[in-house]
Amino acid sequence: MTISFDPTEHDHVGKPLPVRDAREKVSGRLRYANDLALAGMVHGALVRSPHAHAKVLRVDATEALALPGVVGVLTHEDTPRTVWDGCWFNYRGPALDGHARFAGDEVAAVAATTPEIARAAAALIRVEYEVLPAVLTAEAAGATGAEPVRDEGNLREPYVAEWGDLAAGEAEADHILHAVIDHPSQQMATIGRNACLADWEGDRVTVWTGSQTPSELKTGLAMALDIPQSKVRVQALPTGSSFGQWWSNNFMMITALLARKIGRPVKIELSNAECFATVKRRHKELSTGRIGVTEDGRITFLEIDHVMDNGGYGFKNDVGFFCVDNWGRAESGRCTVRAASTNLVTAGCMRGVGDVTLGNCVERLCDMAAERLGLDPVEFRLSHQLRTGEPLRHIMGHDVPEVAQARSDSKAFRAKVPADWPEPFVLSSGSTAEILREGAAAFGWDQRFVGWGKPNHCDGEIRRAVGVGTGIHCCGVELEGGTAATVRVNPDGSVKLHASVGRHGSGAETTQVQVAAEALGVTWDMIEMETGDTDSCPWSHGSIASNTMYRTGFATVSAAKDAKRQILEVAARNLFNCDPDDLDIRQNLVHRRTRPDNERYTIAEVLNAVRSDALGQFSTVIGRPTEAMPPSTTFARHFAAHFVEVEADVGTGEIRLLDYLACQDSGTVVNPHVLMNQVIGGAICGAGFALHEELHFHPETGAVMNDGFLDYKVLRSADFPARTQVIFGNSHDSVGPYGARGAGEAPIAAPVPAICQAVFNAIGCWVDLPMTPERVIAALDRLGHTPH
Amino acid sequence: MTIIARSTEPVLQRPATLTEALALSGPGSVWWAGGTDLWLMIDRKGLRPEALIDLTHIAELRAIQTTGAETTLGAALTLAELEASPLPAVADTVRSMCTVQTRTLATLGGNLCHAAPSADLAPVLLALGAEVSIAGPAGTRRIPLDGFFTGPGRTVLSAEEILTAVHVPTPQRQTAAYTRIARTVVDIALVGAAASLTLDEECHVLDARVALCAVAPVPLLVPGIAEALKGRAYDGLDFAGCAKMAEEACAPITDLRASADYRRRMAGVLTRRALTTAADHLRRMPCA
Repeated sequence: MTISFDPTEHDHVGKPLPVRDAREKVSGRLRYANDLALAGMVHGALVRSPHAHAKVLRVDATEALALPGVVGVLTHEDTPRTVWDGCWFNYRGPALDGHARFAGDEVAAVAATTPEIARAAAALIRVEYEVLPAVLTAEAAGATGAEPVRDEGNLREPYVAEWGDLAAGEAEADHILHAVIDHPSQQMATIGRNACLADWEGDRVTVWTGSQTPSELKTGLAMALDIPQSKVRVQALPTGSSFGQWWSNNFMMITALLARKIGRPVKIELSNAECFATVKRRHKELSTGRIGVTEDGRITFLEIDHVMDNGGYGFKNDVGFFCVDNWGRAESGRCTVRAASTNLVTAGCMRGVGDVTLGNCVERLCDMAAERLGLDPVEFRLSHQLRTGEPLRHIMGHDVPEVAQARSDSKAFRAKVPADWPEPFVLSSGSTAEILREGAAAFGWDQRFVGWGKPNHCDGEIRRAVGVGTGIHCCGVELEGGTAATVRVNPDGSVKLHASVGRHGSGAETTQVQVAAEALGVTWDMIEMETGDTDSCPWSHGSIASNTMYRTGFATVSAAKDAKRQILEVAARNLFNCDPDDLDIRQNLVHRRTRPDNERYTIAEVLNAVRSDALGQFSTVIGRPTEAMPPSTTFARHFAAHFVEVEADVGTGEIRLLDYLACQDSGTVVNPHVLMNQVIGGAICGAGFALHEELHFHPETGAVMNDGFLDYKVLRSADFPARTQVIFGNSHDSVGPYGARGAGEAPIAAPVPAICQAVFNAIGCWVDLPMTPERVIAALDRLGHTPH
Repeated sequence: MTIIARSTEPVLQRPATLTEALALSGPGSVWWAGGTDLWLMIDRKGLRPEALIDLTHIAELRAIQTTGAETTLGAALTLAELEASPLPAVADTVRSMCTVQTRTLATLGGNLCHAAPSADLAPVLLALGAEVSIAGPAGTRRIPLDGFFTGPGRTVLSAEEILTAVHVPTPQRQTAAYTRIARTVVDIALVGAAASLTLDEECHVLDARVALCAVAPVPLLVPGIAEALKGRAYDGLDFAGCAKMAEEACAPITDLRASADYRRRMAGVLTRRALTTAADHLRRMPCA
């Protein structure tokens, strides 16, 4: 592992400090929402539609209410008609409106004194439905006369990005290649289950639940409950794994509504099957693409038509155009994303949204072009991929509500950008270039890649070959308003950092403290962090879109610097009688920059000295961000380049991963342990999507058929090579805290094209996703001969 | 097993002898032999037993005995304990199954009596020509394992009977192997095949068996294998014919895990591979 930062310059940044809650996690003492209880609490259970699409005509709860222990029932008739929005339209709909949009959609809820009674009562609630025609595919959603899934209609306005002269690019191409890739729907498959507990005091509600997005959940609850945001307090708890599943979810709205109706605290705990089949998933995405190349290896055009399904309540119209941007030197192109509502469970942002689908299609097209030209896939990437300072064709943020209308009017891809914005937009730092070169050398690529469609080893029915894939992802969404943080320094010198981030295994509770400690000059054990209480943490997007280190970290550092400035001003006035700029804090001690060992005071001494100050207001210091993310023309991305060797069994179709190298460029590495965990976790999840993961929907009801780990197979550590290695790039960002950028999503992007390419090289043909043994055999049958 | 709609917890009973266990059996009681499958039936499938009778503390069900002619495995031996079994093919099979945690709880008898069509131990024991001992209120009986399974989740056992032991013949010059296809390392078999080869003193095939799992309602002994290979020199055997017989013998279904066509084809591929591995093992064995 190459650590990219000089640790001597810093006390905390770049250090492999232990994850803050590791001891609680491994000893079972970390509290999740499922572990909580309140005095007087009752338990909720949900009544779900058996139909893909239906109107609720009547709900008869007589029998349920007669069951001893049942406290009350909530139906759409008790529910405000208001629509609530999840961040970036991951959800848009009313909490309950008597319109079931997928099999498993909530239609009512019941509260009882025990979970068992609540479940029994839910089964006794008689719902009369008018069954409507079901729309189970994006194609069917767009057909003439299709039943509307939503009031807005089934199709979002297409998202189109264009650059260069496509017609000229087509005319100039010596070779044009086509690909159609059907990307199945991946499930977040969270190991833990979530719960929600809601408690009202008067007209104010407190909600405890696992969430990556505490502030967004507060906003969503205020909309669903039709009350001011000031009356909602979210206490977001660790989710366990989330991967985009636990942002703000409709069962949380229902829990709060049910608690308001019955006047008691209510807890709803989801079963494993409910987590799989009723909350969220990755979109099903069909990519159709073309690429044109010249004989000398120029990409003259790239054209992709990408169709995604939003399920019942998703409302996105883009899955991340940055994937296309990574091939920054394609001379012209058009990318169209079409989104449709269907009567399947809601789809939304799963880790690496767009990366494993749209990004995979781009990588496939480029690989097909390189194969046609006989060019090395590493070299082809080095020739065509985006570098620092080169222009971006796209910035994030076009699908937020306030720009949706502008987008639909203009269909231009810079609709969100103010008219007077300076041009051009360029990549701030990093690229795949360094990690591709370093990775290829470390992996021995030149020796192990023996040509397109050629295994490097054959033994009986075994073929081995290598592949490389690259990925890019944003570092949060540009131009969307400030993520904030506060740093409170107590009179004893201890510090509380308040920043609204998710605790879903990404280590944010550790790395935010590291950058705060660095900026403030205290040792990290002096800092505690509050991540989930929306009454004390200022607004933020939460931990999504790989934004936490880059954006929240920027705010955290700015707030810590503000607190430090205030402490130094007090010390300068009361103790040193000098200019604050002449002072510094390191290792909890305030000292002169020029003579650090001469006269030193602890922060407690500085703040206690203030108590004799007539003003006295400084005994607790509150630091706030004093600068916003600079309005810059440079934007940050993070990058992955993964190398893999696979073994294909042409007798059974089984694919085994033999060797894996994951290279990551996230700018400065704040904590190598945390980043390594992010990188390897992403690689395993991406490899699962490539090889096994696929939700199966019932052909008539659209219900998820594999709603558990028995038949939804995720990869475990034992499925991944023991020799997995990680290399970090050596770039530093000019904006991100201490040069750091995002981290969590590029690592899931690269494995899919890398493994697809390695399988191609092993058996001589491309295989449909996921590349199950049966699909590998089917591909070999189509090939018509045993390869090699 | 009766499914009773009750929400109270079942009573756990832990007899120390087989006699005690048989005496405890009654309406609403089920045998507990590790619980890794049974608990899922209680938790997910609505099974509501009144009593669980734990068989894993009965010493006579937990012994391994080897005589000249056969090895007897107590039915309450855990999979983890079978990893050290004197039968190499059984030990290899067990190591391919589930997880360390599950192997520590699950038992030989539980794996067979749950009668999943995909049970991994069934084909290897069928290929080894195993017999099973059964104890019940009317006494004990010993029957071939071939015939023990009657359908998915069903066996010849009555509710009052207990599988007590599996007897595996251990002839000279015999090898066996099990091979399976699964989606991931921790998975049930999509298809599994076991084979055994026994040679006579001239190194000709004396006996051969192939058994399959997950390709029919019950684990399946492929008919005709011994006849096809008998009397032939073991070196250079061609197993293509046996693979074809396996494909013809099976009656697979299509489900989320695999299609019937794939399973049938793999029954052939795995039969060839299991026989080849068994023949490879023979090569390392001193022959007369």
